[in-house]
Amino acid sequence: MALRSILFLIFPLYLMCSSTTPIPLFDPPEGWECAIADNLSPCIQVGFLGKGSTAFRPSVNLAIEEIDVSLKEYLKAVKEIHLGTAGTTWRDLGKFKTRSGEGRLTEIGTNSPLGSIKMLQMIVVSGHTAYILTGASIKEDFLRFQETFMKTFQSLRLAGDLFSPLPEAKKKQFEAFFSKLGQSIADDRERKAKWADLQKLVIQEGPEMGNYWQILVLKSGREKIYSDTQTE
Amino acid sequence: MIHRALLVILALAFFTTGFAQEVRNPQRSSRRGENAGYGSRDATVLSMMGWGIGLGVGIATLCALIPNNTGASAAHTSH
Repeated sequence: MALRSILFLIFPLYLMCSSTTPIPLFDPPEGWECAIADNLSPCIQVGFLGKGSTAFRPSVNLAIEEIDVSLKEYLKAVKEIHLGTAGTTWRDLGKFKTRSGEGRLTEIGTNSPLGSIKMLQMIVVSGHTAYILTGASIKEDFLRFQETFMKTFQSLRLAGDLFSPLPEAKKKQFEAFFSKLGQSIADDRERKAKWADLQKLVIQEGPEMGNYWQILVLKSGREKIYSDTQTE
Repeated sequence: MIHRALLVILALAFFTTGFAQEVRNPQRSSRRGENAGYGSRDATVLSMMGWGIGLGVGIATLCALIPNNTGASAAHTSH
């Protein structure tokens, strides 16, 4: 009887803890530079910069937001936000297919000290999360980068965890490595050694996964390695 | 006996779930749609300031991109 009560208590708790948010992955345009993380708003996961014809560099970034409404309702709110900014135009361009499902493509126009800007913003809603990819370029460069932005948006996919997109053998290798990272680390020398091992593993085993995935794995690993020092 | 086995399986599943999920979690914004607004604002700011760092030079550069509050320095290149 007692065991049954424990099961009733544990099972909902397990379900609550296991319903973690999927990890959004996408392929940034080839050769683009990664934006310095310190200069991004907290909701922005990552940003990439290309080279344009002017000082205004084309960019792509990924934002996420926890929501409790449908894509249609969310889009209404987004429209209000953008149109609430003076000198900004907003247009719904319709449905957009991605590897994570169907999203909505919108176009935003605004002004900057460097000239008129055109942006494409693609929004996918999955569960209670909105995934927002935004591509921006100066108006003169827009036609040149439009295709690049669309290709990047199409590549958006949601992974159960960081290692699920890997082939089985590599997946096991990374999981084994990460499970050891969770164990206690004696001193700073060991910490540095583990950090070096992680970098080596990512270089050797994950090049085909792309820069964004590599950054996520390194971030995740570093947080595990240095978790006890950050709370001190 | 079956209950005990179930308990063990659940406990195992509980402790192994969420593995490698330490990616920035979505935050509920104070106003719905706000983060899409940040997306376009940050795109504009990033594009104007051009704070990027090349990824072609290998893992050392990649590591410099990771926000670092553990002592090592972060690399910044402005264009």
